[in-house]
Amino acid sequence: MTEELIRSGGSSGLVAALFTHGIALPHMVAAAGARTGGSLGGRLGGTSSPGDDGLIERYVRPTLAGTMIGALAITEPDGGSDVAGIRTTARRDGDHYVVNGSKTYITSGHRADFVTTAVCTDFLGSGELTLLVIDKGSPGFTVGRRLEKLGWHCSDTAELSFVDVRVPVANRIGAENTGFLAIMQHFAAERLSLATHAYATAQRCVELAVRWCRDRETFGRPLASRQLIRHRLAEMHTRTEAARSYVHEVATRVAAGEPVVTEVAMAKNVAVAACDHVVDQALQLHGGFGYLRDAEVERHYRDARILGIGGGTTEIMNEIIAKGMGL
Amino acid sequence: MSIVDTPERRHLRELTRAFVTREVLPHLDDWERAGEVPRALHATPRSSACSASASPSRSAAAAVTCSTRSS
Repeated sequence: MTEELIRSGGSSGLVAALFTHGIALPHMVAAAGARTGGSLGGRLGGTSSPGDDGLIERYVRPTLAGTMIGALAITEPDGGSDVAGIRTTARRDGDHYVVNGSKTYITSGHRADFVTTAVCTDFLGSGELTLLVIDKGSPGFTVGRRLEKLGWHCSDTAELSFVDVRVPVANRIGAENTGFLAIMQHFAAERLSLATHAYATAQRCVELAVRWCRDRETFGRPLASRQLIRHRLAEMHTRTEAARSYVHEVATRVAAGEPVVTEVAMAKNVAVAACDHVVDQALQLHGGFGYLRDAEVERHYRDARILGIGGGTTEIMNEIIAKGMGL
Repeated sequence: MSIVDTPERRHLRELTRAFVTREVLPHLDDWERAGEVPRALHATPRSSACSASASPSRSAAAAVTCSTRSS
């Protein structure tokens, strides 16, 4: 779906805006499923325990129906990709948690009706995390201004602030102190999703560049008739196909339940590298027109830049790969 | 059969392309300038998919599968 949305003329930013539920909901679905041991279909069947079943009814179903919008809040102003360094705290007070802290770079944070929020619930220093669903409008929960960005312009991004926000215990996802594992388990899906954004954006840009080079004539001949241009397009296409093929292979292995953390990191980096190369070359081939807002390729060039940053940077992926090599 | 190329996913691709052509392309430039997509758009793809599918719950499950498995 991500691939087709981008290839048919959408954009990475559109997918980010429209499919935030892909990162806001899976932890709830998994927690409800863990109680029953069911498959994904079984989890959606709603046969789980009262707490997590409540989250399925109150948040998952309306969000999938498109009547609610959710966001996922992990990153903090001081934290970057360091999930273990989360400083937003939740203190238990009767049947509520009291949440204090702030989050940033939150996709769909401006429009979200609820935010799946990573909070620190352990005060002994071991950095245990818990996921809480926090409603917009809760007293003390403030959504800051919409952050302006290089790309992904149709996807709103916000900074969130929590000051003594009271969150019912019923809004906790799974058991207390299981947040770190839940976040890590779903990073694989998020990273493969961003890898898909990357190779799909590259595919679209190859198509746009081929079309442009066939139609555009310089010095009396179409650009596509020149060997330099033909070889450049051939290399763009090759890198894109190699990335697509590898991402599909890793996605298939993830779906089969294989523990392929290193391969997921490599898939993201391979796809991002292909995309970075292709959007740059595609814009160059478009010449002056490529620099205009009217050119679709200009949007992809700007949108692509986040893909090596979000969901764990290229450098974080390289650390995972190096560890997987035993280094 | 590859998990990324099943009859259900091919059907999903067709629905997606039709959705983008009809609901996205005429407006995307405006949304880029506005800084967000309209809330109503979130309900549109589901209603399109549900109307074309025998089972709404199956469509919802497919949506989760696709966004979390990223194909």
